[in-house]
Amino acid sequence: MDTYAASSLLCAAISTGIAWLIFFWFYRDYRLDKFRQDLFALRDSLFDLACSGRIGFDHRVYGLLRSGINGTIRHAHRISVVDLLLLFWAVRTDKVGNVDLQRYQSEWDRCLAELPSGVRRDVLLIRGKLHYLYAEQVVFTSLCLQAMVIPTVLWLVLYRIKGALPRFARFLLSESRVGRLAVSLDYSASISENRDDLVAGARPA
Amino acid sequence: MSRKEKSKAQLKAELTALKRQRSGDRIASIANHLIRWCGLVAITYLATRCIEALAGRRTLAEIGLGLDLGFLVDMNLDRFLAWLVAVLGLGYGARQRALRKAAIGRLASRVRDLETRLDPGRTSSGLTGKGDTNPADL
Repeated sequence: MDTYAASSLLCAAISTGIAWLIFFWFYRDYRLDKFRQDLFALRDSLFDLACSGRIGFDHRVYGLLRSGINGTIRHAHRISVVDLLLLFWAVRTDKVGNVDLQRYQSEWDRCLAELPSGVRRDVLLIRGKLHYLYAEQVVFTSLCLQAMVIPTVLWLVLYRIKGALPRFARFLLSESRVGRLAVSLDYSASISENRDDLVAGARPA
Repeated sequence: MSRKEKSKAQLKAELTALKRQRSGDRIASIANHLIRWCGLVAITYLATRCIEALAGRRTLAEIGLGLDLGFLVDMNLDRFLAWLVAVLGLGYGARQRALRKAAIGRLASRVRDLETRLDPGRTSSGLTGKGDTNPADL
């Protein structure tokens, strides 16, 4: 290894070390605090729902959902992609006790059916948000998932709005100043394309 | 429907699930620590190899200057401002975090008391008074 390469690699190692420190300490702590804060806000919205009298504090659905949010807040520091993969494997191989899961789900469904449709929608929204926050935490605390998921989501968004993008461009071009800018860009590009011919034509024979 | 007492079978099932969960947590914890510390070991190994390669050829002072630590000797205004902003940003973040924890410590008990008046069976997340992870869960 020559001196220049060794110096460069040392710089890279120190930079990676600093990035490692930032990611595993500062960023992870920040994400954990943010995740818990979002969950507290979610628990508050459930409490407000019960406070408004639309669901009783002693209703089973309230108890189940609040316990779920509390458990997630409490064990938020353990949530990671490895944890999720292990859970996925446990469910697939029935190590988690699928009978118990079915019993839990059927109890949830039965108690949820007792609620009026408007309240049921709000409760399901809170539960859905809990799952979304969980998924967000898993993605944003894993470098690999961030590298895979964020570009995929961006691509999907672009794919979904690909029809809207040309419409937006046409709308922008219809605005006079932006339109003039676009025309001047096109004009510059076209004369640059023919620059060699123009220069050759202007040169005295 | 009121909160019902759990049957013996349900409690047994929950206990079994908790035991399994605990085993899974341990495995996940080991895997997470491996990922974290293996990264540091790899970085340290790389740095050590580089230092070995440079030993006797360049001094640490030269490497330090090469690593852009030369600003300590010859600091321009733009670099000084950049470092100042970075240090102030870190300090601001740390201060905000401390303030947030203090606010949680001050307000959490009040919120808990008020909520308990409306919901006597109110359950808690089990975090510490300042919103940190419970030492028993570590």
